[in-house]
This record gives sequence, structure tokens and C-alpha cells, in this order.
Amino acid sequence: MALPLAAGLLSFFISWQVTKRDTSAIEKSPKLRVPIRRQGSHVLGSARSAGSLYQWQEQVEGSSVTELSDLARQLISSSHRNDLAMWQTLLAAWSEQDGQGMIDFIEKDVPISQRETLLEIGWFAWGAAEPDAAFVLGKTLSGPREQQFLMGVAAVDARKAAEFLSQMPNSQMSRYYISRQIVQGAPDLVDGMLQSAIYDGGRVGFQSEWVKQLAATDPAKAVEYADNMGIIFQDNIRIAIDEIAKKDPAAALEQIQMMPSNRSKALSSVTLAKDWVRVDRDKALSWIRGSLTGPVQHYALVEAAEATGTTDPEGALGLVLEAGLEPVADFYDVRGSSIMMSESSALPDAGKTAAYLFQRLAQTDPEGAERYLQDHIPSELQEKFRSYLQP
Amino acid sequence: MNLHILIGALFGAVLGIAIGKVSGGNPDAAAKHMIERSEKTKISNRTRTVREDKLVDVQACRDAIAASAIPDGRHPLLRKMDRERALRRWLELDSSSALAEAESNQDDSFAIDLFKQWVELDPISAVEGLGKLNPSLADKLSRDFFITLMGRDPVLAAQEFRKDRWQLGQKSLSDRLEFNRVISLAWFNADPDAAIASLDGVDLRVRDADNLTEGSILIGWGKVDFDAAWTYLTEKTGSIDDSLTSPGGMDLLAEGLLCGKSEAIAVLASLSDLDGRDMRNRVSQLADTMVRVDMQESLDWALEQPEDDPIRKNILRYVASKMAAADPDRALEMLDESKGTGARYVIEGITRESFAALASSDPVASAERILDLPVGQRKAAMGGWLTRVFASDPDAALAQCRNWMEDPELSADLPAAWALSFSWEHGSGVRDPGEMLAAMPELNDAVNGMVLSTWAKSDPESAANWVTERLELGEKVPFNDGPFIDDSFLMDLSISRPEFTANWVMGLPDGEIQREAARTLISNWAAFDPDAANNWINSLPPGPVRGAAEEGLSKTTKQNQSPF
Repeated sequence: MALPLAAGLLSFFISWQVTKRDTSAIEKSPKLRVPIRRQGSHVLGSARSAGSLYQWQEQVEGSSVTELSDLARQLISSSHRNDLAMWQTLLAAWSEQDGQGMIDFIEKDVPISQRETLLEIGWFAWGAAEPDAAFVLGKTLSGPREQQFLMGVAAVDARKAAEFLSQMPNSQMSRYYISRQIVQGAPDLVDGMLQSAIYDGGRVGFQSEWVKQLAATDPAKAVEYADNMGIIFQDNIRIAIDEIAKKDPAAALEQIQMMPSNRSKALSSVTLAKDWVRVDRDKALSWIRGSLTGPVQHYALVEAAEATGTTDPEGALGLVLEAGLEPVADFYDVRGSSIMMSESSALPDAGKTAAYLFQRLAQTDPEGAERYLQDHIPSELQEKFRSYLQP
Repeated sequence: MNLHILIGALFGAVLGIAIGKVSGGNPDAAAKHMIERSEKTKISNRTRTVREDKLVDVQACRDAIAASAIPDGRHPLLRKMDRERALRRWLELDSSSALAEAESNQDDSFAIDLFKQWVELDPISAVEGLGKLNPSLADKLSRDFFITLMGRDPVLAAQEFRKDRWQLGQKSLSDRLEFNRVISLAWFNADPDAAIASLDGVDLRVRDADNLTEGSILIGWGKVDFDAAWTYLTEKTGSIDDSLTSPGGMDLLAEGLLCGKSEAIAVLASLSDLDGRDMRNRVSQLADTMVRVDMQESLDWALEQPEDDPIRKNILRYVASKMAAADPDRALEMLDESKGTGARYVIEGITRESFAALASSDPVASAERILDLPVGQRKAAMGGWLTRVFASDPDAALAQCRNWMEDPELSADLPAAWALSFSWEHGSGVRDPGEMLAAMPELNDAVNGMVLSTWAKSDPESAANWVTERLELGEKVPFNDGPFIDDSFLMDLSISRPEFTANWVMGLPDGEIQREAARTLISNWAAFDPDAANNWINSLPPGPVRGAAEEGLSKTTKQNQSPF
């Protein structure tokens, strides 16, 4: 009997190892000590622990509407009044029992300073709990309350959220907020949503989410779809490559290799470098050094440095120095009104990255940082690097 | 014996996979398993919540976070609570590994949510943690972080958020303005006395990026006590006019009017004393602000005012612009009621959007309605109609273009309306007008810079070839109509097809267009592929084109702000 048992245990061990997520890089990373000072334990005293949240949830979930309004009053007058985790639980439970009463309470009994925040959470909660009942009152909402209401509905029923959206004022602005849920939960509606946009901004959310969806299943189609979208506001090919690379860097590389030389390929290459180096540093660096050149290689090295700075600040600093600290040509910021600021200003900055990595190294290994400074930093820059260690 | 080994191995493997899935670590699998188990046993909502005593280690927190992402029939906010409690527990167990996970997790929302919970647990250590975070990630989450910190510890937050580290971390001026606006409002909500005290010594007549902070505090104050806030503002600025142009002044007045405050109504009445143009501008700004503050309340308020009141008309126009897509008939009615206010482009915008929406539901009837519109609105209505119908039924759109071209009342507006429908920005995305131009060659003259740029985004080579043909025929091309060459089409070509563009440039007739094309090509191409760009320059014979290309090389931007 011993042999089968041993074989079984061996198989168990192997299977367990196979299914275990590899978090070893994080566990081995240099520790940044940021101690948390623990406080109290009573649920509405000074406690803010995970345990006290649990006690609060238990209390809330067993309460009647009257008890919930009492708990809300206690919360308002306690030091936890701004702890949104506690309010979310309370409003979720209340919206399932009496959404209208909950909204009335917030509008009448909550101090003005908290009212807007809680109305937004309240409308989300009611939209998720009772979409049809909430829509009777919610259809005239606008601004953040409208968005939160629709997001609440979309969290449980994307199709219904799309139906409500079309009947609400200012619906063009709010469509972005539910685009992910519609692409995931009611993909047959996407074409109609694209056709009904009256500004191209009303298309962006759906197109980006569609690219992400395709990237998970068919990388070539994702890139083709992104290419057909053209460059309006952002380079969608880069977004497609980012999504593909997060799951399968080799598939992303295959797509990049088929691209002609252009800005999309350059942006995509830097993006792949960032994603790939997280999962396979050696292969990614070998590709960056062997296949990329000029400004693309420079930014790829800087992104690789930033992506690996947590686990290996010294190695990452070496990558920035390899890239060079002098500014190089900028292909992120091109003239043309169609490129959004979030893309045009996303240029990786070698100097800032070097400063941060050196600070990180000094926080985790002060002596190592001093040694690194002496051995690797050009003498004309040593004083500058030292200044980064000043508080 | 062999059978025993086989059974034992099989049993061990199954057991291993099962336990591995539950406790080992694949978060998705673990989450699914937890949900399936809870659904099978049909246990109540309360017991399905991840129990605190199960969050015994970091791995359990990871599993709980993964499980909270999957719908399980409970209210989504309860799943969110599970996530937040697990994040809080993770921080209690091991803040260093939580910080490391925030930096390595590919989803930024992990870091944002983690730091919100960290603020609740211990604000001082949260600020310390944020300072140690990778700076680009810290910049991304700074806005949410400081809003949360304001609620938890406003004194600490007020000290921190104005520091250069966080101000300069905002990507653009507009990001910085928004950062200061929302955090200042949170400051007022959390600690109104301190926020109001911070206004002392500030010149509220100056409107710049920094004192938007003060504007937000005034807006917050106005919501709680309009009279006190308005009195403070007018005393500080010395005049109503300066109060209205100060940061937050117009918002304050809008709040006061919507609340029916007599002082606000008196200020509104005083606007009629201003000169005509100043009065029109102020009323328009005020109406815009009121609609932004609360559209429905503003509409209700406006409908109670006399029909010829300028502020009523302005509010109706701003509401119409927001409702055009959802309720186009009502929007057009309101636009009609607002006659005499608003610039032409605003009226055209509302008309375009309304007819795009009407064309979705009934294209035939909506096309017939266009003739009933005032002459100045027809072009926009046709443009909106064509934008939508070219997407849903291109043959019908082409047939309608032909009808309108033959209609003496509408033919003059057709070219511009058609151009609008083939321009990006109006909801159609990129469009290739090639087939349309082949079917109706008379529209070639209607191709403007936006159409050409949109075409280049869709099919750069066809767009470039169209330009070559026009130049060969001695026709104008739309990017050199004015005194300057509009290079957005050239830029689109250069960043998407540089090698093709290089060949295309050499086929252009000599002249400024060819030189500008070479300059634009190189200023973009050399930024991402300097070797190829230089090779091309070196292949050019000496002359004006090569000179222009070398100029482009010097324009290759070098903009990163290195601290070195």
C-alpha cells in the first residue's frame, strides 16, 4: 500500500504546483517597509480593520429598512462617515428593500457635504437592484448620477442599460461608461451603438473594448479591426498589442513582425517590451537589444526598466543607463488634433525613471545604492543622483 | 499491485488538482470553484460573503479578490465590498507585498482600490506608501487617493496635495486643473472651515490654473450657504462683474438661481444694465453653467420665466444640445423657441445631431422634413442625415444625394453636407469616399481638409493618389486653399505609410506642396525610424526637396523633460 500512496502524494504535489500561481517574483522582491499602525476593534468605534468591515456587513445584511436608516444615521455621526466601503454595503442592502426610500433619505437626511457622493452610489445601487423601478425616477438624471445609475443597471443587465441609455438626456456622454458591459454582455448591440454615435468620442469606448475582446481570442483579427478603425484620438493597434501581449507576448511579437514600419509599429514595440519583460526578462531584453533600434529601442528599454523596478531596481537602473539619459526623438506627440493628450504625453522619461529607481534602490539597500553610484553612474551625474536621496 | 498504483496516482492527481484549484492560487479557477460551491448549496447571501476568518493569509486575499470579480447573483456592491475587505486585510497582513502587487498588477484599478483602503486603515502610512510607489503609477492614482484622503484626514491631505510632486505629476494643464478642482471640493466637504480660511489672502479677481482651487471651495460653500459665500466673494472682489469672472463665481450664481435666492435673482436682473454684447455673453455663460450644474432643474426653472427672456432662451438652447440624440423632436422644438440666441455653429450642431437621430428611426420622413427647416439649418440637417444613412444604407444615401443635387432648393447645400458626413468627429469614424466620388464626380470639389484627412486614416494610398490626380489636372487640393498648408493629411500619411509616402512625394509636381510633404514626412518618420528616413534623404539629389527633408529632420521633436 505504501507505493500507491507515495505515487498519489507525488501526483498531488505535482498537480498542486502546476495550478499554483507564480507570485515568487513579488515575494522575492526587495521589501519596502511601510508599517501600518493598527487601531481599535469596535465596529463603529475607531476600528477600520477588515474584521470590522465584516462585522458591519453582517449587521447590515440582517437589518430591516427601519434598522438600515438607523444604521445610516449612526454612520453619519461617526468618524467612519466618509468610509465608502461601509456605505456601499449599507446602500446595497437598502436598495434591495426600498430604493426609493433610500434615495429620499440621502436627499433629505444626509449632510450636503456627503450628499452628492452618496447619491451617486445610491443610484448605482438602485439601478443594480431594481432597474425598472429605478428608471421611473432615474430617466431624467444627468451627469455623474446618470452615469452611475446606468453603470448599476449594466452591472446586472447590459441590454437593459443600453435600452435605458437611448431614452436618457445627454446619453451620448454616458455611453462610454457602460461600453465594457455592453461589449461583454450584449455584443450584438455594438454595431448599433457605433452607428448611433453623433461624435466619434461616442465610439471610442465600444471600439476599444471590442479590440480587447478580440485580442483575447484572435490576435490577428484584433489588429486588423484596430487598423480599420484608423487613428482617431488614439492608436488602436497599440491597444490591441497591449492586450495580446499581457496574455501571450509571442503572439504579440508575431503581429508586430507583420506590420510595416510606421508609428503604430513603434508604439506597439515599446508596449510589448513593457509587457514581455514582466514575464520573461531575458527573452524580452534579447529582443529589445537585437531587433529594435534608435528611439524605439530607447523607449523600450526605459519601459522595461520601469516594469522591472519593483523586483530588481539595480538591474532596472542598468537598463535606463543602457538606454541613455539624453532625450531622443518623440514619436508619441505628433501634430494633429486627433491624438488625445493621454497618448501624446505618454512618452517614457529616462531621467525620471532613473531618479525613481535610484531612490528605490537606496530605500531597500542604502549601501548597494552608494556602491552603484560609485561604480556605474558617470561622475558628472553623481551629484545629481545624490540629490534624489534628499528628503 | 499495478492497479493500486494507478488508482493511487489517479486519486492523488484529482485531489491535487482540486485542492490546488481551491487553495493553490489560480485565482480565476479558485473563484469559479467558490461560486459553484456556494450556488450548489444554495446558501444565503450573508453566508456567501467571504468570511473574515478565511482571510488568513495573502493567498486567501488574492483568491477573494479574484472571486469578487465574477457575478454571483449578489448585489455588485457587495462583491465590491468583498474586494475592498480583502485588500484591507492584505494590507494588515503584509503591506510590502501589497505594494509590490500594486506595481506589478497589469490592472491599474488594483492600485487605486488598494490605496483607498490603505487611507482608511492608516492615512500617514498610505501617504508614505504612495511616495514610494513607481512615480508614473503614483501619478495615475493620485487623484482618487487625495479625494479619499480628504475624507479621512483633511489636514494631512491639504498639506500634501499642493506639493510640487503631485501638481507636476499631472500630465497636462487640464489634468492639473481637474485635480485641483475635485480635491478642493473634497476639502470643503471634509473640513469647510479650513478650506474657507485658505481663501484669505488670495486675490479672487485673478483667474488662473492655481486658483481654480479657490473656485471649487466657493462652489462647495455656495451649495451649503449661498448667501454667505456670495457676500464673501463680492466683498473680496469689490464688484459683481469681478465676482462673475472670478473662479467659481458663475457656478455660485447658478446655484443661487436654482435655489431661488433673492440675491442671485437681483444679480441676474442687474445683468440687463450691461452693454448689449457683454449682457449676451454673461447670460449665455450663466445659462451654460446652470445646465451643467443640473439640467432638469435648469429646464424647469427656465420654463417658469417669460417666453422672451434671454436666459430662458439660452437655457433651452443648451438643453436642446444635450437632448438632440435622445429626443430630437423636443430638441428641435426647444431650438426653435430659443431663436435669436447662440452662434450659428451651435444651432447647426443641434440640427445636425437631431437629424442624425431622426434618420435612425425614420429616414424617409426625416429627409422630407428638411425642406421645412429655415434655410440656414438645412445644410446641417442634410449632413446629419447623410452621416447616419451612409452607415446604415449607403445605396439609399447615394440616391438621396442625387435627389438633393437635382432639387433647386437644396442642391447648393449638398456638397458641404456631404463633406460633413465624410469627416471624422461626427460619429462615423473613418470613411473612404472613393466609391462615392466615382459615382458622383461632381462632389470632387467638395473634398475639404477634413474629408481628406479622414480618407487618409481609412485608406492613405487612395487618398494620396486622389491628390496626385487633382494636381495633374491642375485642380486645387484642399490642404493648400489658404495662405498656409494644412498638414494634417500629410501627417496622417507620414505616420501610417512612410515608405509609400516617400515614393508619393517624388511623384508630386515641383513646388511648395512637394516640399511641405517632404518636410512633414521626415519630421515624423525620423522620430520612429531614423535610419530609414536618413537613407531616403541620402538618396535624394541636392535640391529643394532634399533641403525641405533636411529641415524636417531638424524639426523632429525632442521634448521629454529629463531632470538631467
